[in-house]
Amino acid sequence: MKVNYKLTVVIMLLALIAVSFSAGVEAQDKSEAAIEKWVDIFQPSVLSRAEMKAELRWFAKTAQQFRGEKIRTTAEGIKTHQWESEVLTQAFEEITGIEVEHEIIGEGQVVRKITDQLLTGRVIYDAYVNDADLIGTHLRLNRVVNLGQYMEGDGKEYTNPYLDLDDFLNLEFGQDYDKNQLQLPDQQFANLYWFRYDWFTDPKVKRDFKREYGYELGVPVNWAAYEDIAEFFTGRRMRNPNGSVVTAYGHLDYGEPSPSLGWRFTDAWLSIAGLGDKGLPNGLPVDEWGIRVEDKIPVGSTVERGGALDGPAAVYALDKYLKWLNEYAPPQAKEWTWSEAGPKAGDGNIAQRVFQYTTWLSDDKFHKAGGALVDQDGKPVWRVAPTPHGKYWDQGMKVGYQDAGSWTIPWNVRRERRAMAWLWAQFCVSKSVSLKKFLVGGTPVRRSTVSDLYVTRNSHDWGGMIEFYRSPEEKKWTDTGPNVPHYPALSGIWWSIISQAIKGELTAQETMTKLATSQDKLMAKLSLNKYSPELNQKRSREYWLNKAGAPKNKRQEVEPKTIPYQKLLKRWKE
Amino acid sequence: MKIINRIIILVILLVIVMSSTTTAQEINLSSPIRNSYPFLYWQDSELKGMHIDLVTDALKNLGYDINIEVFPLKRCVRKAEKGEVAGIISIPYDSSYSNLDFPADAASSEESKWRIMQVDNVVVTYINDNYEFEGQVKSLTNPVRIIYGEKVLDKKLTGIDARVEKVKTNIQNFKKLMRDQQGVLITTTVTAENMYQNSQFENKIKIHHIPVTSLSHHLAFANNSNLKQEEKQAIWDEIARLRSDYVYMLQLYAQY
Repeated sequence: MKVNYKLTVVIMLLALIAVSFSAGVEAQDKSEAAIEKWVDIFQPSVLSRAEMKAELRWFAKTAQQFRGEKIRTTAEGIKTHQWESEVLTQAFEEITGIEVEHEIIGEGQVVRKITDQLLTGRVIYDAYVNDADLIGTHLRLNRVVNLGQYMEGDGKEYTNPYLDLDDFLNLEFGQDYDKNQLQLPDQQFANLYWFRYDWFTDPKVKRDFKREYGYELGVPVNWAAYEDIAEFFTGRRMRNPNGSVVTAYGHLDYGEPSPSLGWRFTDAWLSIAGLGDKGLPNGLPVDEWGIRVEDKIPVGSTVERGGALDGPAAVYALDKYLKWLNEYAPPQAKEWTWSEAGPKAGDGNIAQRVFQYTTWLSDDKFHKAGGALVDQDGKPVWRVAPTPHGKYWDQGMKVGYQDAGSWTIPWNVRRERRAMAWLWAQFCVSKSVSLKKFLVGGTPVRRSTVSDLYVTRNSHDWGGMIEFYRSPEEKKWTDTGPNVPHYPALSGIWWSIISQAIKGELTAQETMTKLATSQDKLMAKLSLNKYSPELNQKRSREYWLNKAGAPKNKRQEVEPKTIPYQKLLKRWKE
Repeated sequence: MKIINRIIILVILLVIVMSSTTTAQEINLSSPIRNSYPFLYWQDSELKGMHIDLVTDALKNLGYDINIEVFPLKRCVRKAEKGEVAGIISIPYDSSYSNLDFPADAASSEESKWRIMQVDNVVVTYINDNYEFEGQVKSLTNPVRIIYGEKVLDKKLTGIDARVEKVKTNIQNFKKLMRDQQGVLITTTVTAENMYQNSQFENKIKIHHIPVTSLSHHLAFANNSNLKQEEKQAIWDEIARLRSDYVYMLQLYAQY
């Protein structure tokens, strides 16, 4: 039998091309069907359906070469990330063919794992949603992908043409001193004052308060008023809109020794007390961690080295935390962590909270019809307002704290894995999904989200949060900033030492002295690629305390001051 | 009377000093010479690294006075067999070490509960080499460059087609890879990443994602050491406790 080899080879090649082509067509069909499906699910969106399809098609097309691949990413356990893990991974896989395991772990573990990966080089995850509080660490270690450079260089073809960086609310949180983008915001949360608007506007309650304290009950502008209001409400019988009667607490907090106790302080509590210097986004030369920084070099935390961590303002901040925790918060609060305390105000027995992370306001308890915090019209009876300040606070300082959980790709995730991680990160913050994600988790990162018509129509559901994000004032709430040289290592000292004050083993002054000394000792040991700490020589405390700015000398108590909520809201709307 | 008082005070002081010296048990350990920053490396005539810090701190916490000698791996093992040292710091488990005691799960678990730390070794190739390592050592291209003293890795490479070349330091292997532009080298993830930041090699090498080995590095004790089994276990437990101590580890990392 005579075989025509040439013909056979040609036929085989044609067959192969046909199979490949049909597989390609099949994959494209699948993607297209998935896009149709997810455009429906992602409603409402800030984009039109046609715009959404264009964006999602770009993801499908760009990811074609990676179909069947898998990556692993991680984020902390809040509603936004749960939704990403349960819903967005499915959407991403159906549209792009890339499987993502988006593992939800505790925030403390996120910090530990990313440190493991950056310092040992072991690939644990392909990307992390890591708080931009770590920007000072990342810029000094130089071990995360410079996303700005990547977008312009190797990652250009994988960068979403619809990404629109100008639309992000606080892109600068993820930038180093030279404005390089090292982290991209995925979810953002502010720390605001939270209170029961219905109780604060109840005529009888207002009368009682004025009779007892001599001034109007309103949103506290300073800690002196906050303390009075806390005292006033604690133990008072109060009624909720659903008819339940509770014994109220005037304050909510937490004190369980854990990494989250550290954030309770490092998330600008000392700055809110007034410890630092003037300056935005962070006080200069002394910031909210009490660290003095000169020419980007941290030079000390103790007053003797020009820092402020063991100064009068720091001691005052800890004193107030302890007093309010012991006297006005539920007794169990000492055993709560950040996530346990987070949604507790939703139970209906808390009058106000000086330090409410807005991420928890997406909890059902704050919105559920028939619940303790919703009126007969289905609207929340709580509001958020600007953070009240301690007696050391001066105009020109940062007003409060907010941060962005941000996409961070470690240095050792390269080539196709880096491209896939970057595609997934961009998908999670794409305009196609951002509004829907906000409605689930309440953590917006885009201006287009908070200015959307749907959000405007329903803004009452967020108790003032939308007005906050739309206001230029929002820029005065900032994160840890670039001056903290090694967040993971230094933050560990905070909670382990502060827990000794909660247990009554140390006084507030002893605690802050121990903390400041330990922080300096550790900073002296740090080995960083750039801007490594170089401690100042010690001088007398008087030398530093008598100079202008931080560290600040002891101050007298101030008069309590409140303001009507509507007046504050007007300020945000202006 | 004064003299008697002085004598009594002296006796009391002597008792205190003697009791403090007798409670701190001395322990002699060895560690292999390995240039593997930040885990174990030689600097300023001193052995340093996270593995040394972690073991030293664990032993100090338990009241031991620790003395560490540095030798090539084979000599560390021989000295342990002869009872000249009580144990070896930073040694991955291998079944041939019959005279050494490893933690109970060392043979069965990829990540031992009582490890000092886990260290991954990865493949590095020249940037323009199309080779992709997908987990099969038999696929490694010729030559395969490693450093001396990597017994477990060495064993894993036994029988592969490619020629295995050994040198003393990683930098030699990186230079050879640059020169030849072919074959592979195998090193720890962190060495590969650090070399990548070195201007000599930046954008000239490709670090492959899948590890060739992922090894638990242990403190292994000599079978014949004076330590009782429960004392060995107590030391491994303290190592494990420190490694899971959130604050301790983050601060340890921060120093390297």
